Amino acid sequence: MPDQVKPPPIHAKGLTKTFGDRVLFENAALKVERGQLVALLGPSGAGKSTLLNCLEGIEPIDSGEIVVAGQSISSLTESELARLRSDQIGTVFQFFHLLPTLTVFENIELSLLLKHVPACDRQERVVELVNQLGISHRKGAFPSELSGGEMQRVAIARAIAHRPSVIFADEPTGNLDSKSGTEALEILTQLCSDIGAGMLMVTHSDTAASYCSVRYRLSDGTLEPAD
Amino acid sequence: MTLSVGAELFRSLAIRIIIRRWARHRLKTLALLFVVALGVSVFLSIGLTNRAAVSSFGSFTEIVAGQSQYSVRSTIGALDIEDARSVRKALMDTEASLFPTLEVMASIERAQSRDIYKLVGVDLLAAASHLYRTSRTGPKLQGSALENMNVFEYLAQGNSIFASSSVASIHQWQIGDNILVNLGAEQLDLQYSGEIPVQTSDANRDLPVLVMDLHALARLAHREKQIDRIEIILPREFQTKSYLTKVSALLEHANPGYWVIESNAERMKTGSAMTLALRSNLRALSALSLVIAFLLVFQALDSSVSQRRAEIASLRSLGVTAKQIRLLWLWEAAMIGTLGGVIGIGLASLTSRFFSGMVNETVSALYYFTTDNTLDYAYGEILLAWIAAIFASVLAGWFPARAAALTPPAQMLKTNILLGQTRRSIFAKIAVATGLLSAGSYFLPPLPAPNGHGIPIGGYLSALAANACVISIGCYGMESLPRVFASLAKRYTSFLIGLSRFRKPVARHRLALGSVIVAVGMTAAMVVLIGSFERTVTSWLDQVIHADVYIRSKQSLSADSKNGIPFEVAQTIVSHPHVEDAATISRYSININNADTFLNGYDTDYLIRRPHLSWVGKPPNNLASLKAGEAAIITESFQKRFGVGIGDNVRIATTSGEKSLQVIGIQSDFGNERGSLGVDQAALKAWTGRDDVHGIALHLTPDVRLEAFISEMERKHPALDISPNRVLKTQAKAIFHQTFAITYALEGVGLFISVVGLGAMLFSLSLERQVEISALLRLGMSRMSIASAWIAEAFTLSSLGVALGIGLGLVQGWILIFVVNRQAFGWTLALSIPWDSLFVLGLATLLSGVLVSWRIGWWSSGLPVQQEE
Repeated sequence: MPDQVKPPPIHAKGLTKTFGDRVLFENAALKVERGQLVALLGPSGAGKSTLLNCLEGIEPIDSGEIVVAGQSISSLTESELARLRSDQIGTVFQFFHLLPTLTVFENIELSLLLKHVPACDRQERVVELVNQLGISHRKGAFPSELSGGEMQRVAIARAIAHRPSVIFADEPTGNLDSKSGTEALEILTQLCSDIGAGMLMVTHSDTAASYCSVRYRLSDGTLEPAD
Repeated sequence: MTLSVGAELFRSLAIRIIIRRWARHRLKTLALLFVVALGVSVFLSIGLTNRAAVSSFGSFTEIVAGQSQYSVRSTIGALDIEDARSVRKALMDTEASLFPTLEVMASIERAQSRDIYKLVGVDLLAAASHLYRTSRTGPKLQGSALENMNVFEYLAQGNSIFASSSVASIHQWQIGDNILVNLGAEQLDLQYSGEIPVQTSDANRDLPVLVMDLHALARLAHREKQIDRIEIILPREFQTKSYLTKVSALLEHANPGYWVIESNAERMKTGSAMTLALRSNLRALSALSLVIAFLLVFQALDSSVSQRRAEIASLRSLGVTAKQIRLLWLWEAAMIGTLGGVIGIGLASLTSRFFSGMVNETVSALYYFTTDNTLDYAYGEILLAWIAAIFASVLAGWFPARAAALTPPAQMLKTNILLGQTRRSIFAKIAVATGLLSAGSYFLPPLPAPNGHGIPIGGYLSALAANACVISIGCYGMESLPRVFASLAKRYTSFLIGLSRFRKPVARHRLALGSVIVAVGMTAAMVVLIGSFERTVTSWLDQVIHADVYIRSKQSLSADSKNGIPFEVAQTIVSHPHVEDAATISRYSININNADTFLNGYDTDYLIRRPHLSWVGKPPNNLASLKAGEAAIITESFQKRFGVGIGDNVRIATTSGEKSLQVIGIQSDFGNERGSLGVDQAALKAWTGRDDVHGIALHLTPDVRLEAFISEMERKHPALDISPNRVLKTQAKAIFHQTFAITYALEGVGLFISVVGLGAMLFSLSLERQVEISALLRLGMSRMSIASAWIAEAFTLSSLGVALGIGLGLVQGWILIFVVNRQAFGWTLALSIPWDSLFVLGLATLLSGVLVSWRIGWWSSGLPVQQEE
């Protein structure tokens, strides 16, 4: 299906989530188009990561509708949700969350394995990515042997390897120095553009937000465009 | 009182760090305490049960006479009434009271069972006088049968029987009731005359014992003028060391050569020595549960250090010293041991009753009549178990405490690194060193044991070192698991993740592997031992049980039963027109060189006519020489215990003087490890003056129907146990299995704890990996796949544990058969490996591991997703 007729990776509307008496967000709406970079800003504890979890189907919402790559996630079973995440979503974490007992190569390969990509294609794709990210000399290393910047490159490669339609990035530069952070953002945006994936990035950083064409702010339970 | 600053800080940290964590993870803490308690309770139960088995060795006469200071018995069979006179004469000028006693086994039929009791014959007149004299200071005459001193009435009746309160209440006897009692070959109609006045502790009220007047019992048991033992009791004020020495010297001086004179302590030692091998093995097995339980304490504390590394680092930055951190974790270990120990002691009140029943059945079948009624809470055993629990717990906490103390302050702690990695090469070195130790100690000679056999110290050491060696091999090999299963990891995400854990295994992986190896190894060793035993014993039983019908008294299930069948009754039976051939056997306890064994009287002609004994080496070609009363055949256990072989002479003291017997053959006998000496029955009769027999073997004429013959015999001799060949073999095998019942139970506990250990390892890792699990869920792994990764981890770990455990079991089985059994029991077994049982053991362990890992994997993947904010 041509990109222009494919459904948007994320289309959410009327989202409400409360914790006890506290309203995290109410009647929130958000859309991420293919190839579009969207920033989600807001103070600490505003509920940005919770919103991300809800969009991924990890946490339930109280009301509203979330459609990921054309599928309404409220109607999906647990295993269908897992399949949706492994096929359509890539995730980059602040603390990288590479599996400490897998090598760089295996960490990247993991998302391809979850998508049941054949072994020869997996090999080819991982080699392509490690070359592109300049970490081919580290592909046999374990995460504990990498620098912060290298770890985030591996995490980005893992998120992008299976060519998802959307990337969720939760403070991707929060644990990096400014130089490594900038490099990570350059790589992330470039790779999203390469595969035509949309990206929703939770961040505190104005620099990081400046890479995005659309910016939302979540504050006091309200999600609204930041510009 | 104010606490010092250090103590105040320690108290505060203990509450905030340890106690609050216990409160937060209540279920986990309770599970850990339960496992420790289970290990302690098993260890304590076996200790209490062993103690009860030994203490009941001498407690049946005590119930009437109180604890004696000395006892006199004969080297063979019984003493004569004349011996009582000699003892009286020897102690004429002392304050000693004499209690000649006769002990037989009696059985009473109930609706669904046959109860066997010890029936003690005492001189009622002497007992009543003694009780009356001492009642002012202790014994409880009130309400007892002897309260009114109507002894003469009982003596006149001649069939009065007294019972302990528990026996009387089981049967709901009322004074004056008529009771049918099987004794030897006869069924007697006796009259219940009341409860036995209790002389010692109230615990003795529950002993399964019956009492009669000595002379009445001697007459009814056809043992006139015989005495099994003379108890010698001194008044309390004369129980001084010098007075006891004087009494002992007088007795030794009067000893005609065949008296065995033992102090109370020596008698206990006899009982203790007799069961030493069995008790030692049970103690070792029960310690296994304790060891595995404390591996879990190690795991739990290691996990606690691992999970709280950042917290410890922060504390270190704030000025808490490494020593205080170490003390904190050691305190937690001590608390686990203390509380687990207390719960274990409470739990032992249930488990000890369970184990006691099995141990007592085994001791009764193999050694002497005993009862679990003597089970009581011995403070020494309880204290030992409690101290062992605290000590083992602190020991288990030592390394985690050290690891905690080594945590650097937060400023120096790098994130995302795996601390505490042990170099793999160290395990290779330990494996080689312990392997050499195991091989070397295999050949060590045994230490001398008080029962005459050896303490197989080399065998035990070899087995222990083999455990350490195989565990080290496992720890070394664990890191190769991902390579071994690489093809699975390439195809399945779950295997990739599950197997990758072993690239950088943590201490808990090694502990879980170690506990699986130890538990499977010990169980597999017992499977090999029991399989070999079963095959050897079955083939032995097939050879020695060859007649059509076997007859014995109904009370002969106990190994020390003295009940015989009167010669006249035996004669009647063997002269039955349908009996084609027959033989009788007599069996007496005998004391040689202060060690108890058995003396068997064989029908020599029958042995020659129908060769059926199983010989070690070449069968003797001069069996006829037994008839002269100067030759003997011995069992293998006797050979090892007394260090004699073919051509050697064995000297025995009899009432008719010392006899020297030359050994002409050695037979296999797996009945008990005390061994036996076999002589011609006629010679034995001449030495003992007794002609009663203890077993009859009958070969029937071809025309008779077996069932009809047995029915006829049972009708004529209701007090005798009459078993066809097949039934006797089945009974013998049942006794064999019963003796291993406690072993199965202890192995089961060990295996259970090891599977719990595996579960605990996975559980603690699941808590540590929560962030990782959340990340995997967000990467698109389903709960099913995450649970499968846990299964892959547990399955591969269990597979390695099972494979190495079974290998270890084969090595330990070999050591048990060819070193431990030979040295401790004097038995040579043929090695037989029951592969089917080993397969079931391996499969059951693997399935248990898979099931536990599945539950934990499923549960942990369903926990709330960890937030990064």
